[in-house]
Amino acid sequence: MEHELLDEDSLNMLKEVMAEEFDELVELYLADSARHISDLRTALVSEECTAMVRVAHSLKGASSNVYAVGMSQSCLALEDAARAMLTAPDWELLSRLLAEIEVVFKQTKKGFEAVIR
Amino acid sequence: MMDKTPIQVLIADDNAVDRKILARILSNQGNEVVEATNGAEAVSLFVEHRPDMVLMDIMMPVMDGQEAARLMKQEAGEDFIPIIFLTSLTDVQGLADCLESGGDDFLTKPYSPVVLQAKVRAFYRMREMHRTLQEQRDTIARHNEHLLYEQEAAKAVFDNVAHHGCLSAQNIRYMLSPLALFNGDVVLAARGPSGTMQLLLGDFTGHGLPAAIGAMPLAEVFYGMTQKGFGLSDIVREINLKMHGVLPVGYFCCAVLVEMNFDTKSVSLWMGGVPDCYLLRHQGELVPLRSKHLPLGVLSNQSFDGSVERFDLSNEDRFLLWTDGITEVQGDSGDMFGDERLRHTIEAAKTPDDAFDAILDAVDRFKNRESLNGDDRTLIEMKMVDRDLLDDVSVQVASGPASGPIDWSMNYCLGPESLRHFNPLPLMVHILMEVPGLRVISGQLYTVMAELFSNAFEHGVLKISSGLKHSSQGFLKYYQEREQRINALTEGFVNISMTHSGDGSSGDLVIMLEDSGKGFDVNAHLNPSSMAGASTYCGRGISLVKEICDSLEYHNGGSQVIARLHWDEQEHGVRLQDEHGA
Amino acid sequence: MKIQTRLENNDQDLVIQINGRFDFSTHQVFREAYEKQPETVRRYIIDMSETSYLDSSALGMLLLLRDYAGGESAMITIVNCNVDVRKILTISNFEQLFDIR
Repeated sequence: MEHELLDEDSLNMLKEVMAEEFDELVELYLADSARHISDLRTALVSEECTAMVRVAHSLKGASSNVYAVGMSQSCLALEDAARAMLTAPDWELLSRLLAEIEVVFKQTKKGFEAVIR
Repeated sequence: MMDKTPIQVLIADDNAVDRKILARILSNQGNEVVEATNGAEAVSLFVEHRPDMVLMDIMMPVMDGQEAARLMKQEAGEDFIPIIFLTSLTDVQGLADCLESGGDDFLTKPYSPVVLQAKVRAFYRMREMHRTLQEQRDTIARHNEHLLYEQEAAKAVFDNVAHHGCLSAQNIRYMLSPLALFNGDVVLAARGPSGTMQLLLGDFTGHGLPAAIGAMPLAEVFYGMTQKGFGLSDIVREINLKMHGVLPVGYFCCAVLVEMNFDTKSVSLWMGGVPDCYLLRHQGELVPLRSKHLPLGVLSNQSFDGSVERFDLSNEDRFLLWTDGITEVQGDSGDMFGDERLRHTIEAAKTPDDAFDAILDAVDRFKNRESLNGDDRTLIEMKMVDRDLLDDVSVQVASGPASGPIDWSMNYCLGPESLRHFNPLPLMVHILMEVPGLRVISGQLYTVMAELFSNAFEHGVLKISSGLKHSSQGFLKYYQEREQRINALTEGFVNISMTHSGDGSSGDLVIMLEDSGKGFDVNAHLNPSSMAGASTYCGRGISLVKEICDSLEYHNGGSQVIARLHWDEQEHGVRLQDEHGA
Repeated sequence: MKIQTRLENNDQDLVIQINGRFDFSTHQVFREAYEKQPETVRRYIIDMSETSYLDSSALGMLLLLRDYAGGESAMITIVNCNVDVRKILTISNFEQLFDIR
């Protein structure tokens, strides 16, 4: 499953581009993503829908740049859902989508750790 | 070379991962990178560094990408600094909105180094092109300013040389565009010493300085010769000679010249290269006038034809003259005003007096709103009137050295060849002008010489009966007869002798003319009131001479005439010594 | 193409055909058309069948050609003029200088 969450061919190309900075980049992503997910949690709890859209969008973008396709897909789901219900948020749904992201992240992290080893 | 030129790129993105990747891709390609984490920071870094390109995320805290882009474009002013938006949007509308808000392009995630490099190169080329354009535009603007300045100066010089002369005379109406000179149009008008009026309407090829420069010698010749009493044929020949010498091959001046004699009511006309003009008679008859000659400046003096057309006019008959500026005015549908429309406009005018305004009106209504040279129209109306309606020919004190010959005599005898082609009057008057005391009366002296010479030549040598001048067909018949006899002339002479004596502040002038003729009825000639049609011009001529001279005697049956004239400085009220500030 | 040339009659005649508007922009090309020709050329034929319009700078160019081709002794014929072109040549009395058909 870890391998489906990462686009390995593209990731190899990125490795060539980043060269000695590749590992640093991965670690930056993992740290940043953890923070973003934490921010999403906070936004959900304080019922800030707009903030959720913004954070999900940013996380989605970063994920696609490091070819963490699973992450970018689940972030997209949350972003779209949150944007669609700005006036009348369905917190239930949003909570579920966030949980999904957290699960995917755990797996993605394992996948990356395998790559940089 | 272009590919390796390092540029400075500003990256604005609140996401550290995105920034890191972009920065690496760009520095791999040899470029310099400056990073901002939000819109506001991006703008201040932009102002500080003035990068060659900007890569900007749209959603950022503090200030978003669109607002930052707007401020950057404002700051850039005239310079072109491309802004590429970074986006993960895939819907078309979203992308279009990016560009609407001031972006020049967009880059989608995930970032492809190949795509980014292609964009960087493309925008670099665009920037260079833009810069070149700016430089060229500035150079052109500078040159243009220079040119305009020079033209102003040229115009000022021209205005001093080619003053309008008598264009403001009562029998002339004219419309000249303010830029007339620089469209090559010239209009000159002047009175001759015997009261005739000469008008020249010219159209030089080209515009601007070459046209203006050609107009200056033309104006000098025209005014100089008119003032001295030369006739139209001589003037147009001299102008052609001047233009032929001055203008480069391929440049010429289309022109129409008119000489109007208000006493004989006759007109001479020379047209070269101008479109059809008209003579509009007082009762409405429209007579087309066609150019019969090549424009001025084309032919050498030998090949040049200075022959004129003659017309008899009545008061209120008028010439309507224009250059191709009028016929070529462009309308809304791109077609030209043309001869047909012009003729219809004149024919449709209520009275001949209305024709002038009718033409201007029609042209105004016809012309294309956006036409750049809509004001490029020159239109002249010159009509025959009674001489009294016009200002007196102003006494032109001919200039010359303060001192001149006081006691002298000369003799000038003209044989048939000379008489056929040469008009001696300007030369004779010129000699008289060497005497400072005679300069004040140059006009009168011209009149005297002209009258005496014309009698000697036309009655004495050509033997034209003076009765012809009174014929009901007017002067046209007279001139035709004159032409024929001149062409057939093989013998005869006119001898002019002049004597002057004095003491510098007064003098005595004796002019004697002798011709080879057998004489005529002197009494009838001296008392024209006894002849039929005494109100005509010839009555006036001789009585003027009698007024001007102290005495007038005829001998040898009329083939010899002696005119005497005494001048006195005090009488004329001119202190000659002060003429030149002495 | 604005100007087309061809040589005829054993390279003695140069035919110059002007297409479209014969005006100031034609200056350079027209000059090149007659200047770079073999010395055998004696006669110039200006074919106006495709010429829509003539202005005063075109008249000037014709004069330049005449000057180049010997002035008074130049042999230049202008053919196939349409009504407008003919009119302009007539007003300027150019038939006194050129053979116009």
